[in-house]
Amino acid sequence: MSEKAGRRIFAVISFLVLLFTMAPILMLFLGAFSADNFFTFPLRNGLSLRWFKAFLSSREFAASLRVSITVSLSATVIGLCAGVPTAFAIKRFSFRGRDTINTMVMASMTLPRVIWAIALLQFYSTLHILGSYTGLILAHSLLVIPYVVRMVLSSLSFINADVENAALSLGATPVKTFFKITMPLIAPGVIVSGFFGFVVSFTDSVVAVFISGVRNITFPVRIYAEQRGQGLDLEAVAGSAIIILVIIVAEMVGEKLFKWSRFI
Amino acid sequence: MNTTKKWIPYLLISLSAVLLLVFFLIPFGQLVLYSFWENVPGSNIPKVTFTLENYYHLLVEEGPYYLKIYGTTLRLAAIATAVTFCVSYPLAWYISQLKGMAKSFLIILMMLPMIGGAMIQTLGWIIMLSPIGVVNGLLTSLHLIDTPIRFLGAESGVVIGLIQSYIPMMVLPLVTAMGSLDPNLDSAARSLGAGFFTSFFRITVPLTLPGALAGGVLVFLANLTSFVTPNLLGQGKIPVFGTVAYTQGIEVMNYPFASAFALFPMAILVVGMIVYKWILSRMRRARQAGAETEGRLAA
Repeated sequence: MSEKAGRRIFAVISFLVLLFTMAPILMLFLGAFSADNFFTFPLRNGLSLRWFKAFLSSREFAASLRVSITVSLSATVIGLCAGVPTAFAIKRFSFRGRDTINTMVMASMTLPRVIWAIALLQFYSTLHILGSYTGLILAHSLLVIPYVVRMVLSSLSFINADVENAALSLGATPVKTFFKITMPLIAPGVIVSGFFGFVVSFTDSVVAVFISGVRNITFPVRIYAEQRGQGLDLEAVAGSAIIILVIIVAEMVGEKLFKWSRFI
Repeated sequence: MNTTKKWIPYLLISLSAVLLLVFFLIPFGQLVLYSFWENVPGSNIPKVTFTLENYYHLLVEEGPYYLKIYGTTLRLAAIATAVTFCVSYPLAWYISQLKGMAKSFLIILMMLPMIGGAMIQTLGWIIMLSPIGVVNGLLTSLHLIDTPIRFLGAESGVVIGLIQSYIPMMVLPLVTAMGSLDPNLDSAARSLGAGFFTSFFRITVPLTLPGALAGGVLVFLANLTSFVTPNLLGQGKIPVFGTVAYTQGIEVMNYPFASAFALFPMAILVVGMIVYKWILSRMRRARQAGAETEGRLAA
Protein backbone atom coordinates (compact mmCIF):
# COMPACT_ATOMS: atom_id res chain seq x y z
CA MET A 1 0.00 0.00 0.00
CA SER A 2 1.27 3.43 -0.84
CA GLU A 3 2.63 5.79 1.78
CA LYS A 4 -0.06 8.39 1.22
CA ALA A 5 -2.94 5.92 1.50
CA GLY A 6 -1.53 4.54 4.77
CA ARG A 7 -1.25 7.97 6.32
CA ARG A 8 -4.73 8.88 5.15
CA ILE A 9 -6.26 5.74 6.67
CA PHE A 10 -4.62 6.50 10.02
CA ALA A 11 -5.74 10.12 9.84
CA VAL A 12 -9.35 9.03 9.26
CA ILE A 13 -9.27 6.48 12.09
CA SER A 14 -7.71 9.10 14.39
CA PHE A 15 -10.40 11.61 13.54
CA LEU A 16 -13.16 9.08 14.30
CA VAL A 17 -11.55 8.08 17.62
CA LEU A 18 -11.11 11.73 18.55
CA LEU A 19 -14.74 12.43 17.69
CA PHE A 20 -15.86 9.46 19.81
CA THR A 21 -13.72 10.62 22.74
CA MET A 22 -15.16 14.13 22.55
CA ALA A 23 -18.74 13.03 21.74
CA PRO A 24 -20.25 13.33 25.23
CA ILE A 25 -18.69 16.76 25.73
CA LEU A 26 -19.97 17.99 22.36
CA MET A 27 -23.42 16.60 23.16
CA LEU A 28 -23.57 18.69 26.34
CA PHE A 29 -23.63 21.81 24.17
CA LEU A 30 -26.39 20.44 21.94
CA GLY A 31 -28.49 19.58 25.00
CA ALA A 32 -27.77 22.89 26.73
CA PHE A 33 -28.97 24.98 23.78
CA SER A 34 -32.11 22.92 23.20
CA ALA A 35 -35.38 24.83 23.50
CA ASP A 36 -37.45 21.72 24.33
CA ASN A 37 -38.82 20.85 27.74
CA PHE A 38 -36.91 17.58 27.66
CA PHE A 39 -34.19 16.47 25.29
CA THR A 40 -35.19 14.73 22.08
CA PHE A 41 -33.37 14.39 18.81
CA PRO A 42 -34.01 15.91 16.31
CA LEU A 43 -34.70 19.07 18.34
CA ARG A 44 -38.37 20.09 18.10
CA ASN A 45 -38.25 23.80 18.86
CA GLY A 46 -34.76 24.77 17.75
CA LEU A 47 -32.19 26.47 19.95
CA SER A 48 -32.52 28.76 22.93
CA LEU A 49 -30.72 30.02 26.01
CA ARG A 50 -33.53 29.02 28.40
CA TRP A 51 -31.57 26.27 30.17
CA PHE A 52 -28.61 28.54 30.77
CA LYS A 53 -30.96 31.13 32.27
CA ALA A 54 -32.63 28.46 34.39
CA PHE A 55 -29.26 27.16 35.61
CA LEU A 56 -27.94 30.61 36.49
CA SER A 57 -31.07 31.48 38.49
CA SER A 58 -31.34 28.13 40.28
CA ARG A 59 -30.77 28.42 44.03
CA GLU A 60 -29.98 24.72 44.48
CA PHE A 61 -27.24 24.77 41.89
CA ALA A 62 -25.82 28.03 43.24
CA ALA A 63 -25.64 26.44 46.70
CA SER A 64 -23.94 23.30 45.39
CA LEU A 65 -21.46 25.38 43.38
CA ARG A 66 -20.62 27.33 46.54
CA VAL A 67 -19.94 24.06 48.39
CA SER A 68 -17.85 22.76 45.48
CA ILE A 69 -15.75 25.90 45.19
CA THR A 70 -15.18 26.12 48.94
CA VAL A 71 -14.13 22.47 49.13
CA SER A 72 -11.92 22.56 46.03
CA LEU A 73 -10.20 25.83 46.88
CA SER A 74 -9.41 24.70 50.43
CA ALA A 75 -8.24 21.30 49.19
CA THR A 76 -6.02 22.95 46.58
CA VAL A 77 -4.41 25.28 49.14
CA ILE A 78 -3.73 22.38 51.51
CA GLY A 79 -2.54 20.22 48.61
CA LEU A 80 -0.06 22.91 47.50
CA CYS A 81 1.22 23.50 51.05
CA ALA A 82 1.80 19.76 51.42
CA GLY A 83 2.86 18.89 47.89
CA VAL A 84 5.39 21.59 46.96
CA PRO A 85 7.69 20.96 49.97
CA THR A 86 7.31 17.20 49.48
CA ALA A 87 8.41 17.42 45.84
CA PHE A 88 11.31 19.65 46.87
CA ALA A 89 12.42 17.20 49.57
CA ILE A 90 12.21 14.25 47.18
CA LYS A 91 14.23 16.06 44.49
CA ARG A 92 16.87 17.88 46.51
CA PHE A 93 17.52 15.73 49.60
CA SER A 94 18.45 12.14 50.14
CA PHE A 95 16.94 10.76 53.30
CA ARG A 96 15.58 7.52 54.67
CA GLY A 97 11.97 7.05 53.64
CA ARG A 98 12.31 9.09 50.45
CA ASP A 99 11.24 6.21 48.22
CA THR A 100 8.43 5.33 50.61
CA ILE A 101 6.86 8.78 50.51
CA ASN A 102 7.30 8.99 46.74
CA THR A 103 5.66 5.59 46.22
CA MET A 104 2.82 6.39 48.62
CA VAL A 105 2.02 9.68 46.90
CA MET A 106 1.98 8.05 43.47
CA ALA A 107 0.05 5.01 44.73
CA SER A 108 -2.66 7.30 46.06
CA MET A 109 -3.14 8.48 42.47
CA THR A 110 -3.42 5.07 40.79
CA LEU A 111 -5.30 3.27 43.53
CA PRO A 112 -8.96 2.75 42.60
CA ARG A 113 -10.96 5.65 43.97
CA VAL A 114 -14.00 3.50 44.78
CA ILE A 115 -12.07 1.32 47.20
CA TRP A 116 -10.53 4.35 48.87
CA ALA A 117 -13.96 6.00 49.03
CA ILE A 118 -15.52 3.02 50.81
CA ALA A 119 -12.59 2.91 53.25
CA LEU A 120 -13.08 6.63 53.95
CA LEU A 121 -16.83 6.17 54.32
CA GLN A 122 -16.35 3.60 57.08
CA PHE A 123 -13.53 5.57 58.72
CA TYR A 124 -15.55 8.80 58.79
CA SER A 125 -18.64 7.01 59.98
CA THR A 126 -16.69 5.55 62.91
CA LEU A 127 -15.38 9.03 63.78
CA HIS A 128 -18.84 10.61 63.25
CA ILE A 129 -17.48 13.12 60.73
CA LEU A 130 -19.41 11.75 57.76
CA GLY A 131 -20.81 14.66 55.74
CA SER A 132 -18.63 17.31 57.39
CA TYR A 133 -16.89 20.03 55.41
CA THR A 134 -13.53 19.28 57.06
CA GLY A 135 -13.70 15.60 56.19
CA LEU A 136 -14.48 16.31 52.55
CA ILE A 137 -11.77 18.99 52.26
CA LEU A 138 -9.03 16.83 53.79
CA ALA A 139 -9.97 13.83 51.65
CA HIS A 140 -9.91 16.02 48.56
CA SER A 141 -6.52 17.45 49.51
CA LEU A 142 -5.20 13.91 48.99
CA LEU A 143 -6.60 14.01 45.44
CA VAL A 144 -4.62 17.21 44.84
CA ILE A 145 -1.26 16.22 46.38
CA PRO A 146 -0.15 13.65 43.76
CA TYR A 147 -0.82 16.11 40.92
CA VAL A 148 1.20 18.80 42.71
CA VAL A 149 4.08 16.47 43.57
CA ARG A 150 4.29 15.06 40.05
CA MET A 151 4.20 18.41 38.26
CA VAL A 152 6.51 20.20 40.71
CA LEU A 153 8.98 17.29 40.48
CA SER A 154 9.02 17.65 36.71
CA SER A 155 9.44 21.43 36.87
CA LEU A 156 12.27 21.01 39.43
CA SER A 157 14.05 18.75 36.98
CA PHE A 158 13.91 21.52 34.36
CA ILE A 159 15.97 23.89 36.54
CA ASN A 160 19.65 23.55 37.13
CA ALA A 161 20.64 22.86 40.76
CA ASP A 162 23.78 24.93 40.11
CA VAL A 163 21.70 28.11 40.24
CA GLU A 164 20.66 27.22 43.79
CA ASN A 165 24.22 26.25 44.74
CA ALA A 166 25.51 29.54 43.35
CA ALA A 167 23.10 31.48 45.57
CA LEU A 168 24.11 29.37 48.57
CA SER A 169 27.81 29.83 47.96
CA LEU A 170 27.27 33.58 47.67
CA GLY A 171 25.95 33.53 51.22
CA ALA A 172 22.17 33.24 50.84
CA THR A 173 20.46 31.12 53.48
CA PRO A 174 18.68 27.95 52.23
CA VAL A 175 15.31 29.51 53.03
CA LYS A 176 16.17 32.69 51.13
CA THR A 177 17.50 30.62 48.22
CA PHE A 178 14.26 28.68 48.06
CA PHE A 179 12.02 31.72 48.00
CA LYS A 180 14.24 33.97 45.83
CA ILE A 181 15.64 31.45 43.35
CA THR A 182 13.79 28.14 43.34
CA MET A 183 10.23 29.35 43.86
CA PRO A 184 10.17 31.86 40.96
CA LEU A 185 11.66 29.21 38.66
CA ILE A 186 9.11 26.54 39.53
CA ALA A 187 6.18 28.98 39.82
CA PRO A 188 4.62 27.98 36.46
CA GLY A 189 4.64 24.31 37.51
CA VAL A 190 3.13 25.19 40.89
CA ILE A 191 0.36 27.28 39.33
CA VAL A 192 -0.47 24.66 36.70
CA SER A 193 -0.53 21.86 39.28
CA GLY A 194 -2.78 23.98 41.47
CA PHE A 195 -5.19 24.42 38.57
CA PHE A 196 -5.26 20.70 37.81
CA GLY A 197 -5.64 19.85 41.48
CA PHE A 198 -8.57 22.26 41.73
CA VAL A 199 -10.30 20.81 38.67
CA VAL A 200 -9.76 17.21 39.79
CA SER A 201 -11.24 18.02 43.18
CA PHE A 202 -14.08 20.04 41.65
CA THR A 203 -15.15 17.29 39.27
CA ASP A 204 -14.65 14.38 41.67
CA SER A 205 -17.86 12.48 42.03
CA VAL A 206 -16.73 9.19 43.57
CA VAL A 207 -15.27 10.31 46.90
CA ALA A 208 -17.89 13.05 47.25
CA VAL A 209 -20.84 10.73 46.54
CA PHE A 210 -19.61 8.32 49.21
CA ILE A 211 -18.78 10.76 52.00
CA SER A 212 -20.55 14.07 51.45
CA GLY A 213 -23.74 13.00 53.23
CA VAL A 214 -26.90 15.04 52.72
CA ARG A 215 -26.00 18.54 53.85
CA ASN A 216 -22.87 19.66 51.98
CA ILE A 217 -23.74 18.55 48.48
CA THR A 218 -21.14 19.35 45.83
CA PHE A 219 -22.04 20.08 42.23
CA PRO A 220 -21.31 16.58 40.85
CA VAL A 221 -23.16 14.94 43.76
CA ARG A 222 -26.17 17.15 43.06
CA ILE A 223 -26.16 16.04 39.40
CA TYR A 224 -25.80 12.43 40.50
CA ALA A 225 -28.72 12.59 42.90
CA GLU A 226 -30.90 14.32 40.34
CA GLN A 227 -29.97 11.90 37.60
CA ARG A 228 -30.82 8.91 39.80
CA GLY A 229 -34.06 10.50 40.95
CA GLN A 230 -35.70 12.19 37.98
CA GLY A 231 -33.64 11.57 34.85
CA LEU A 232 -31.91 13.97 32.52
CA ASP A 233 -32.20 17.59 33.65
CA LEU A 234 -31.21 20.11 30.97
CA GLU A 235 -30.46 22.70 33.65
CA ALA A 236 -27.65 20.46 34.89
CA VAL A 237 -26.54 19.93 31.29
CA ALA A 238 -26.31 23.70 30.75
CA GLY A 239 -24.31 24.05 33.97
CA SER A 240 -21.96 21.27 32.91
CA ALA A 241 -21.46 22.93 29.52
CA ILE A 242 -20.48 26.17 31.27
CA ILE A 243 -18.00 24.30 33.48
CA ILE A 244 -16.43 22.49 30.50
CA LEU A 245 -16.14 25.81 28.69
CA VAL A 246 -14.38 27.38 31.68
CA ILE A 247 -11.94 24.43 31.83
CA ILE A 248 -11.16 24.67 28.09
CA VAL A 249 -10.53 28.43 28.29
CA ALA A 250 -8.34 28.02 31.39
CA GLU A 251 -6.37 25.25 29.67
CA MET A 252 -5.78 27.43 26.61
CA VAL A 253 -4.70 30.42 28.70
CA GLY A 254 -2.45 28.14 30.76
CA GLU A 255 -0.84 26.74 27.63
CA LYS A 256 -0.26 30.25 26.28
CA LEU A 257 1.25 31.54 29.53
CA PHE A 258 3.04 28.51 30.99
CA LYS A 259 3.23 25.89 28.23
CA TRP A 260 1.71 23.42 30.70
CA SER A 261 1.69 20.47 28.31
CA ARG A 262 5.41 19.98 29.12
CA PHE A 263 4.55 19.07 32.74
CA ILE A 264 2.32 16.13 31.86
CA MET B 1 21.19 21.67 48.48
CA ASN B 2 23.71 20.41 51.00
CA THR B 3 22.86 20.59 54.60
CA THR B 4 24.02 18.92 57.75
CA LYS B 5 20.61 19.18 59.35
CA LYS B 6 18.98 15.81 58.90
CA TRP B 7 15.49 16.81 60.01
CA ILE B 8 14.88 19.30 57.22
CA PRO B 9 13.52 16.84 54.60
CA TYR B 10 11.29 15.30 57.26
CA LEU B 11 9.87 18.71 58.08
CA LEU B 12 9.24 19.30 54.37
CA ILE B 13 7.30 16.08 53.89
CA SER B 14 5.53 16.18 57.26
CA LEU B 15 2.17 17.56 56.11
CA SER B 16 1.90 15.11 53.19
CA ALA B 17 2.98 12.25 55.42
CA VAL B 18 0.39 13.05 58.09
CA LEU B 19 -2.41 13.43 55.54
CA LEU B 20 -1.46 10.17 53.83
CA LEU B 21 -1.27 8.37 57.17
CA VAL B 22 -4.58 9.61 58.54
CA PHE B 23 -6.74 9.68 55.41
CA PHE B 24 -5.17 6.92 53.38
CA LEU B 25 -3.31 4.31 55.42
CA ILE B 26 -5.52 4.25 58.51
CA PRO B 27 -8.80 3.98 56.56
CA PHE B 28 -7.27 1.11 54.57
CA GLY B 29 -6.05 -0.57 57.71
CA GLN B 30 -9.56 -0.24 59.09
CA LEU B 31 -11.02 -1.71 55.91
CA VAL B 32 -8.77 -4.77 56.24
CA LEU B 33 -9.56 -5.20 59.95
CA TYR B 34 -13.31 -4.74 59.51
CA SER B 35 -13.38 -7.46 56.86
CA PHE B 36 -12.29 -9.93 59.58
CA TRP B 37 -14.57 -8.59 62.30
CA GLU B 38 -18.17 -9.39 63.06
CA ASN B 39 -21.06 -7.17 62.04
CA VAL B 40 -23.31 -5.84 64.82
CA PRO B 41 -26.71 -5.12 63.25
CA GLY B 42 -27.77 -1.51 63.73
CA SER B 43 -24.29 -0.31 64.66
CA ASN B 44 -21.52 1.02 62.47
CA ILE B 45 -18.81 -0.37 64.74
CA PRO B 46 -18.27 -4.12 64.40
CA LYS B 47 -17.44 -6.54 67.18
CA VAL B 48 -13.71 -7.05 67.60
CA THR B 49 -13.11 -10.75 66.97
CA PHE B 50 -11.40 -12.69 64.26
CA THR B 51 -13.86 -14.25 61.86
CA LEU B 52 -13.89 -15.43 58.25
CA GLU B 53 -17.67 -15.14 58.28
CA ASN B 54 -17.71 -12.16 55.86
CA TYR B 55 -15.57 -13.91 53.28
CA TYR B 56 -17.54 -17.15 53.73
CA HIS B 57 -20.75 -15.24 53.11
CA LEU B 58 -19.22 -13.52 50.06
CA LEU B 59 -17.68 -16.54 48.38
CA VAL B 60 -19.76 -19.50 49.55
CA GLU B 61 -23.16 -18.65 51.00
CA GLU B 62 -23.92 -15.89 48.51
CA GLY B 63 -21.11 -17.02 46.23
CA PRO B 64 -23.10 -17.48 43.02
CA TYR B 65 -24.50 -13.94 43.26
CA TYR B 66 -21.32 -12.07 44.14
CA LEU B 67 -18.96 -14.10 41.95
CA LYS B 68 -21.28 -13.37 39.06
CA ILE B 69 -20.90 -9.65 39.78
CA TYR B 70 -17.11 -9.96 39.82
CA GLY B 71 -17.37 -11.93 36.58
CA THR B 72 -19.51 -9.30 34.84
CA THR B 73 -17.11 -6.60 36.01
CA LEU B 74 -14.10 -8.51 34.64
CA ARG B 75 -15.79 -9.21 31.32
CA LEU B 76 -16.94 -5.63 30.70
CA ALA B 77 -13.57 -4.22 31.80
CA ALA B 78 -11.68 -6.64 29.52
CA ILE B 79 -13.80 -5.73 26.48
CA ALA B 80 -13.52 -1.98 27.17
CA THR B 81 -9.75 -2.18 27.77
CA ALA B 82 -9.10 -4.19 24.60
CA VAL B 83 -11.05 -1.72 22.44
CA THR B 84 -9.42 1.29 24.13
CA PHE B 85 -5.99 -0.26 23.55
CA CYS B 86 -6.57 -0.82 19.83
CA VAL B 87 -8.17 2.52 18.96
CA SER B 88 -5.62 4.52 20.96
CA TYR B 89 -2.62 3.47 18.84
CA PRO B 90 -3.57 5.24 15.57
CA LEU B 91 -4.70 8.38 17.40
CA ALA B 92 -1.50 8.51 19.47
CA TRP B 93 0.55 8.07 16.31
CA TYR B 94 -1.38 10.87 14.62
CA ILE B 95 -0.90 13.29 17.53
CA SER B 96 2.79 12.44 17.87
CA GLN B 97 3.32 13.35 14.19
CA LEU B 98 1.89 16.84 14.70
CA LYS B 99 3.91 19.86 15.76
CA GLY B 100 3.41 23.18 17.52
CA MET B 101 -0.07 24.59 18.09
CA ALA B 102 -1.94 21.69 16.48
CA LYS B 103 -0.24 19.19 18.77
CA SER B 104 -0.79 21.16 21.97
CA PHE B 105 -4.40 21.82 20.97
CA LEU B 106 -5.07 18.09 20.60
CA ILE B 107 -3.33 17.36 23.91
CA ILE B 108 -5.54 19.98 25.56
CA LEU B 109 -8.60 18.28 24.05
CA MET B 110 -7.45 14.85 25.26
CA MET B 111 -6.95 16.18 28.79
CA LEU B 112 -10.60 17.24 28.96
CA PRO B 113 -12.16 13.79 29.49
CA MET B 114 -9.44 13.01 32.04
CA ILE B 115 -10.07 16.01 34.27
CA GLY B 116 -13.66 16.82 33.27
CA GLY B 117 -15.00 14.13 35.58
CA ALA B 118 -17.20 11.15 34.84
CA MET B 119 -20.40 12.82 36.00
CA ILE B 120 -20.43 15.59 33.41
CA GLN B 121 -19.53 13.22 30.58
CA THR B 122 -22.17 10.72 31.60
CA LEU B 123 -24.77 13.45 31.04
CA GLY B 124 -23.42 13.80 27.50
CA TRP B 125 -23.70 10.05 26.96
CA ILE B 126 -27.30 10.03 28.14
CA ILE B 127 -28.14 12.75 25.57
CA MET B 128 -26.42 10.59 22.97
CA LEU B 129 -27.76 7.14 23.89
CA SER B 130 -31.23 7.53 25.41
CA PRO B 131 -34.20 6.03 23.50
CA ILE B 132 -35.07 9.56 22.32
CA GLY B 133 -31.42 10.61 22.08
CA VAL B 134 -29.11 11.54 19.22
CA VAL B 135 -28.07 8.06 18.03
CA ASN B 136 -31.57 6.62 18.06
CA GLY B 137 -32.99 9.83 16.61
CA LEU B 138 -30.54 9.73 13.70
CA LEU B 139 -31.07 6.03 13.00
CA THR B 140 -34.86 6.40 13.12
CA SER B 141 -34.98 9.40 10.80
CA LEU B 142 -32.74 7.52 8.37
CA HIS B 143 -35.26 4.65 8.59
CA LEU B 144 -32.54 2.23 9.62
CA ILE B 145 -34.44 1.14 12.74
CA ASP B 146 -38.10 1.11 13.79
CA THR B 147 -37.76 0.76 17.53
CA PRO B 148 -34.98 2.53 19.43
CA ILE B 149 -31.93 0.49 20.41
CA ARG B 150 -31.60 0.14 24.15
CA PHE B 151 -28.18 1.41 25.25
CA LEU B 152 -29.05 2.77 28.69
CA GLY B 153 -29.62 0.07 31.26
CA ALA B 154 -27.79 -2.35 29.01
CA GLU B 155 -24.21 -3.60 28.91
CA SER B 156 -23.58 -1.90 25.55
CA GLY B 157 -24.12 1.57 27.02
CA VAL B 158 -21.83 0.87 29.97
CA VAL B 159 -19.06 -0.46 27.72
CA ILE B 160 -19.34 2.53 25.34
CA GLY B 161 -19.02 4.90 28.30
CA LEU B 162 -16.06 2.99 29.72
CA ILE B 163 -14.19 2.92 26.41
CA GLN B 164 -14.56 6.67 25.96
CA SER B 165 -13.62 7.56 29.54
CA TYR B 166 -10.15 6.04 29.41
CA ILE B 167 -8.97 6.62 25.82
CA PRO B 168 -6.94 9.69 26.93
CA MET B 169 -5.34 7.67 29.74
CA MET B 170 -3.99 5.34 27.02
CA VAL B 171 -3.28 7.93 24.31
CA LEU B 172 -1.29 10.51 26.30
CA PRO B 173 1.49 8.16 27.55
CA LEU B 174 1.65 6.63 24.05
CA VAL B 175 2.17 10.08 22.51
CA THR B 176 5.10 10.60 24.89
CA ALA B 177 6.52 7.15 24.10
CA MET B 178 6.23 7.68 20.34
CA GLY B 179 7.72 11.15 20.60
CA SER B 180 10.86 9.73 22.19
CA LEU B 181 11.39 7.13 19.44
CA ASP B 182 14.37 7.73 17.17
CA PRO B 183 12.88 8.90 13.82
CA ASN B 184 15.89 7.34 12.08
CA LEU B 185 14.47 3.88 12.83
CA ASP B 186 11.40 4.62 10.73
CA SER B 187 13.48 6.14 7.93
CA ALA B 188 15.86 3.14 8.01
CA ALA B 189 12.96 0.69 7.72
CA ARG B 190 11.48 2.73 4.86
CA SER B 191 14.75 2.99 2.97
CA LEU B 192 15.04 -0.78 3.24
CA GLY B 193 11.71 -1.06 1.48
CA ALA B 194 9.20 -1.38 4.34
CA GLY B 195 5.84 0.23 3.65
CA PHE B 196 3.91 2.53 5.98
CA PHE B 197 2.04 -0.26 7.80
CA THR B 198 5.04 -2.59 7.96
CA SER B 199 7.10 0.12 9.59
CA PHE B 200 4.24 0.96 11.98
CA PHE B 201 3.55 -2.61 13.07
CA ARG B 202 7.16 -3.87 13.06
CA ILE B 203 8.97 -0.77 14.42
CA THR B 204 6.65 1.68 16.20
CA VAL B 205 4.31 -0.81 17.90
CA PRO B 206 6.96 -3.19 19.34
CA LEU B 207 9.09 -0.33 20.64
CA THR B 208 6.17 1.39 22.39
CA LEU B 209 4.52 -1.82 23.60
CA PRO B 210 5.99 -1.84 27.14
CA GLY B 211 4.65 1.67 27.78
CA ALA B 212 1.34 0.76 26.18
CA LEU B 213 0.97 -2.35 28.34
CA ALA B 214 1.67 -0.32 31.48
CA GLY B 215 -1.01 2.14 30.33
CA GLY B 216 -3.30 -0.78 29.55
CA VAL B 217 -2.98 -2.12 33.10
CA LEU B 218 -3.98 1.27 34.50
CA VAL B 219 -6.94 1.48 32.12
CA PHE B 220 -8.04 -2.03 33.06
CA LEU B 221 -7.85 -1.20 36.77
CA ALA B 222 -9.85 1.98 36.17
CA ASN B 223 -12.46 0.03 34.18
CA LEU B 224 -12.73 -2.62 36.89
CA THR B 225 -13.45 -0.08 39.60
CA SER B 226 -15.40 2.59 37.76
CA PHE B 227 -18.49 3.72 39.60
CA VAL B 228 -20.30 6.64 37.97
CA THR B 229 -20.38 5.29 34.41
CA PRO B 230 -21.91 1.84 35.17
CA ASN B 231 -24.20 3.41 37.76
CA LEU B 232 -25.76 6.05 35.52
CA LEU B 233 -25.47 4.42 32.10
CA GLY B 234 -26.41 1.01 33.54
CA GLN B 235 -29.33 2.63 35.40
CA GLY B 236 -28.91 0.18 38.25
CA LYS B 237 -29.58 -2.78 35.96
CA ILE B 238 -25.94 -3.74 35.42
CA PRO B 239 -24.50 -4.52 38.85
CA VAL B 240 -20.70 -4.30 38.78
CA PHE B 241 -18.03 -3.99 41.44
CA GLY B 242 -18.23 -0.20 41.89
CA THR B 243 -22.01 0.03 42.06
CA VAL B 244 -22.41 -2.92 44.44
CA ALA B 245 -19.66 -1.53 46.71
CA TYR B 246 -21.72 1.67 46.90
CA THR B 247 -24.97 -0.13 47.68
CA GLN B 248 -23.25 -2.23 50.33
CA GLY B 249 -21.58 0.79 51.94
CA ILE B 250 -24.37 3.36 51.80
CA GLU B 251 -27.61 1.42 51.77
CA VAL B 252 -27.00 -1.94 53.43
CA MET B 253 -24.66 -0.53 56.10
CA ASN B 254 -23.00 -3.89 56.82
CA TYR B 255 -19.46 -2.53 56.99
CA PRO B 256 -17.60 -5.80 57.60
CA PHE B 257 -19.25 -7.42 54.61
CA ALA B 258 -18.75 -4.31 52.43
CA SER B 259 -15.05 -4.40 53.41
CA ALA B 260 -14.70 -8.03 52.40
CA PHE B 261 -16.50 -7.33 49.13
CA ALA B 262 -14.15 -4.42 48.31
CA LEU B 263 -10.97 -6.15 49.45
CA PHE B 264 -11.34 -9.57 47.84
CA PRO B 265 -10.54 -8.40 44.27
CA MET B 266 -7.74 -6.20 45.65
CA ALA B 267 -6.21 -9.22 47.35
CA ILE B 268 -6.38 -11.20 44.12
CA LEU B 269 -4.78 -8.32 42.28
CA VAL B 270 -1.93 -7.99 44.75
CA VAL B 271 -1.27 -11.74 44.70
CA GLY B 272 -1.42 -11.70 40.89
CA MET B 273 1.12 -8.89 40.75
CA ILE B 274 3.49 -10.67 43.14
CA VAL B 275 3.28 -13.89 41.11
CA TYR B 276 3.78 -11.91 37.88
CA LYS B 277 6.90 -10.18 39.27
CA TRP B 278 8.22 -13.50 40.58
CA ILE B 279 7.80 -15.15 37.16
CA LEU B 280 9.47 -12.18 35.46
CA SER B 281 12.48 -12.29 37.78
CA ARG B 282 12.73 -16.09 37.36
CA MET B 283 12.66 -15.66 33.58
CA ARG B 284 15.30 -12.94 33.72
CA ARG B 285 17.54 -15.06 35.94
CA ALA B 286 17.08 -18.05 33.64
CA ARG B 287 17.99 -15.91 30.64
CA GLN B 288 21.07 -14.51 32.41
CA ALA B 289 22.16 -18.01 33.38
CA GLY B 290 21.64 -19.10 29.79
CA ALA B 291 23.69 -16.19 28.48
CA GLU B 292 26.50 -17.00 30.93
CA THR B 293 26.62 -20.65 29.82
CA GLU B 294 26.68 -19.55 26.21
CA GLY B 295 29.48 -17.13 26.99
CA ARG B 296 31.48 -19.86 28.72
CA LEU B 297 30.89 -22.25 25.80
CA ALA B 298 32.02 -19.58 23.35
CA ALA B 299 35.15 -18.96 25.42
